[in-house]
Amino acid sequence: MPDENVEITAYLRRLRDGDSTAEDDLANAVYGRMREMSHALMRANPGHPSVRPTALVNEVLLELMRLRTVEWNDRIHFYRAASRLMRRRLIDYIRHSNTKRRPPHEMRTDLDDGDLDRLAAVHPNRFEEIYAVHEALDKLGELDPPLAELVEMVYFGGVTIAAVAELRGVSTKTVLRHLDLARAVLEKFLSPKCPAASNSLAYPFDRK
Amino acid sequence: MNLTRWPEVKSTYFDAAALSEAERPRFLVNLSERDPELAEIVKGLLSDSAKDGLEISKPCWGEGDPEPARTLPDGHLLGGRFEITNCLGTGGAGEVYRAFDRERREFVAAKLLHLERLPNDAAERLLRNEVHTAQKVNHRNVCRLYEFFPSRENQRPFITMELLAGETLADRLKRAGRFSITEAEPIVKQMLDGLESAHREDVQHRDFKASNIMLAEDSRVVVMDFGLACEVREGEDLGHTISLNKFAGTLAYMAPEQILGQQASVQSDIHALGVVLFEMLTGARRFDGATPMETASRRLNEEAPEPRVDGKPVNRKWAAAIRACLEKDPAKRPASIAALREIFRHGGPIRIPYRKLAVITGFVAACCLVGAGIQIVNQREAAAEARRTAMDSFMRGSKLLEEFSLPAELAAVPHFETAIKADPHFAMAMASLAEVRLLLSRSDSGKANEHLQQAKSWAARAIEIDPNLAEGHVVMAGLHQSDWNWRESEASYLRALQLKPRMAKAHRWYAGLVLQFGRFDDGMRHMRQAMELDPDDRSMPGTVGLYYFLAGRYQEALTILEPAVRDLDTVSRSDGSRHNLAQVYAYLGSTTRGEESKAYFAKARRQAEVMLAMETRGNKPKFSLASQILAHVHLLQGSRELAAPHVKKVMDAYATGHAPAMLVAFLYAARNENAEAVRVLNKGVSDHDPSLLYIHVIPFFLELRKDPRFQEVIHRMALYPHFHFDVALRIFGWASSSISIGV
Repeated sequence: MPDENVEITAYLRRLRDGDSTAEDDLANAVYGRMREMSHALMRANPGHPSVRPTALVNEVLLELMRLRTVEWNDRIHFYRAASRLMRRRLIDYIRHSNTKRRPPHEMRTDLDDGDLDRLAAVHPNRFEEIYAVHEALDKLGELDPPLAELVEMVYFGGVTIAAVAELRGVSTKTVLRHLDLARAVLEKFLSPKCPAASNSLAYPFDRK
Repeated sequence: MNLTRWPEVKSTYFDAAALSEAERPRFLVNLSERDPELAEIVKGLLSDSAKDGLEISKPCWGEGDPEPARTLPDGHLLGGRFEITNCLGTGGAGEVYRAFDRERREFVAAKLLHLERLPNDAAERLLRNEVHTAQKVNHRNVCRLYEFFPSRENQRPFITMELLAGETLADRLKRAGRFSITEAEPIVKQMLDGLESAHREDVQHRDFKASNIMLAEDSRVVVMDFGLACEVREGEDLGHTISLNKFAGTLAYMAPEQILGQQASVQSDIHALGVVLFEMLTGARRFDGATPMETASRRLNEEAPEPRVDGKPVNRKWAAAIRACLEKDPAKRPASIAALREIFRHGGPIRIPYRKLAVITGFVAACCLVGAGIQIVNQREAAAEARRTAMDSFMRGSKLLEEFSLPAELAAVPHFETAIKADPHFAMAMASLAEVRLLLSRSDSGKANEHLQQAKSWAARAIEIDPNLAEGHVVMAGLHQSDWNWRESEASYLRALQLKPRMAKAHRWYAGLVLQFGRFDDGMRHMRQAMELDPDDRSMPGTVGLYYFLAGRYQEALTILEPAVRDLDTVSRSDGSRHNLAQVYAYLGSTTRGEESKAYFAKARRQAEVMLAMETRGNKPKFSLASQILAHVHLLQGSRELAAPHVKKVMDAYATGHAPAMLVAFLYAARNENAEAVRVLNKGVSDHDPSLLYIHVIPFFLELRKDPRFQEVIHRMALYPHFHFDVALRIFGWASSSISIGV
């Protein structure tokens, strides 16, 4: 899809030139392609959030690395764009996966009831926490865009504290202090709406 | 929270947070006296941020990701025959169990795929494929697959394979760290044997990595997970499904062409092998970032580091092997496992890339690379100094060649000469010197013969020193071509391609040779290969566009040439592709009618005008390509008056020996002066004028070709239209029986 590539290159140039509105366009453009593929997958297997988050974010990186017409001469722009896209990738996946926690039908076909009992262990669903943070982060973004961007880069992009500190030219202590504040605010946004407030242990972010 | 006060809240929060535990209460008391609301908010935030709670200082993915659960419990009877005893591992794509085969009374490994991750019958197809592919390879260093069991009612499809006791190379590295050369050698040897046996059967692994190599207890090294990816075709849904699940962790091993989504090849496996070798010797992955993002960013922005242990470079031959495997361009990696073994043995031969040379600095790199042409035996200081000089000069010369301009080519010559002087056995530098002289013979007007003589002598010397140097044979082929020794030329190209089947330049140049004989299919095939192998070669579009033109594929020629010309760097780049584009327009103008024809001619003239502007800006050339195009276009449009001044310029240049014969003949042909055209061409044949190479196929002569006098010219050139089997025989030693069919 050459036209699409041209489009993406243009968004990245805008981003590089400091036009932050390009980020959304970029996410839509790069991510649109992946979304199509993953929807096709999910249509074939409705109801299975079967892909690990790591696989999803790695896929974003791979897509970005394929855009070789783009010169990523500024690391922070690469990190920012990638983090934004990783966040979208995860959230979109969660939205479409219509999470159910029981083993999918296909997996059970060769198991009897005894087998199923022995396989009772169910992994905690990380996706629910991720989705809640995503919603709270939108609100933080309205309040304090740079702070939200920091969280996006660390929590969704997986950029290390040390790397953020280096990129922003501050100490790691400063970065951590900002994250502490962000976390305090996020929890405020999180709590009234989330089941966590009702002390349900089902939600991993309820650790108070 | 009062959001309108946020800036104040934030700065006050940081003021408070920066204080020590002891100072903070006093600060808050003061604040509360001054501004109770603000104090309340900040207090709340401070206390929230001190609590354990939401973890946002780590990525939400990664370590916390649940491992895929096993789906079969111990004791489960798989397919009514295999009793599961324990789970050997679960991964992104599937799960493997140890199971007892009740029928054969032995333990096997059984592998199932996560069905829910695969659409429809994909799992069945994949597993069937894996067995089919792996059974083609029967080798002690490749995991043996036994049987495929298709899905039945209440039964997922699965495969059984040999059960290997031991640990994977990845686990071994994690447990005990890096290997010494002595430890690594026997393992690597077996790895190479296993991979080679697969490649011999046209099976590519495509997911070669440390966790797919089993160090079995009986000292056997076994390459596993063969075939899962290898029969999955590019672009198929299945391929994406697999990559989606298998991708985690393998980015480090993926070759650049795989990352770009291009066709994987044997060279992609060799790249992954290089990453494994690097990992074995250093204990670390190349481009190992703290996070996937850093790894990706480093891969995008940095050159691969040299393998080093405790700050010291590793064994020279191993370093050379790793470097060769990790070349970004697959064409520059060893062509086969056998070629890689040679590097392990001798530290060469390897091709020194022209690009990226600037980043290869330092003596370590020099030692690794020089192995190509010179045998490093003597380690004394003086010799080392000479090598440094040789390498340094060679790199400077090579760097200049990237500019594709006459001045840069002229400037490159002394660098290569210095390199050879410092190291009289530097075959690669000789081949490069020969190549640049060959290029100059076509562009440095008036000195063609001198350049050709020099080129021949250096190419011959390079081949004498290193008979297996593909670069030497390619230049020699080009030289034979310019001498009109067509058969010798074809033989040399084939020799070069035999030595280095993925050398883009050899394919590109060879395509030109076979096209001039009118062997279009052959030419197109090699041209496509050249484009696939080196899509970034800046000199490619101009040539390829011309080839399409010669093959009568005009729209495809435009598709290549138009963007290339748009991108032309008008300052440093010569205007070969622009000239070619103008020719295509001119031809299309002459073969279409009405408005369409006018439009093409106008486009041709526009290109010529740009060329003219460039010609008048720099040193005025002795022959103006722009004038030739303008003359030709006006003549094709039937206006001799407008053509006249341009024709005069061309003829003046021809009279002083500066105009290529064929371009002059075009003008005569356009005026229907066949006798004159043939006269010029005949003179060209006598002079071995290089512009005549494509005389047999150039579309402008379609009318002239009907003239018997023109056929006589072709005859004099002794172009042969078909592949000559005597050449093939000499190159490949084919048996006569195998070539008699269809001759």
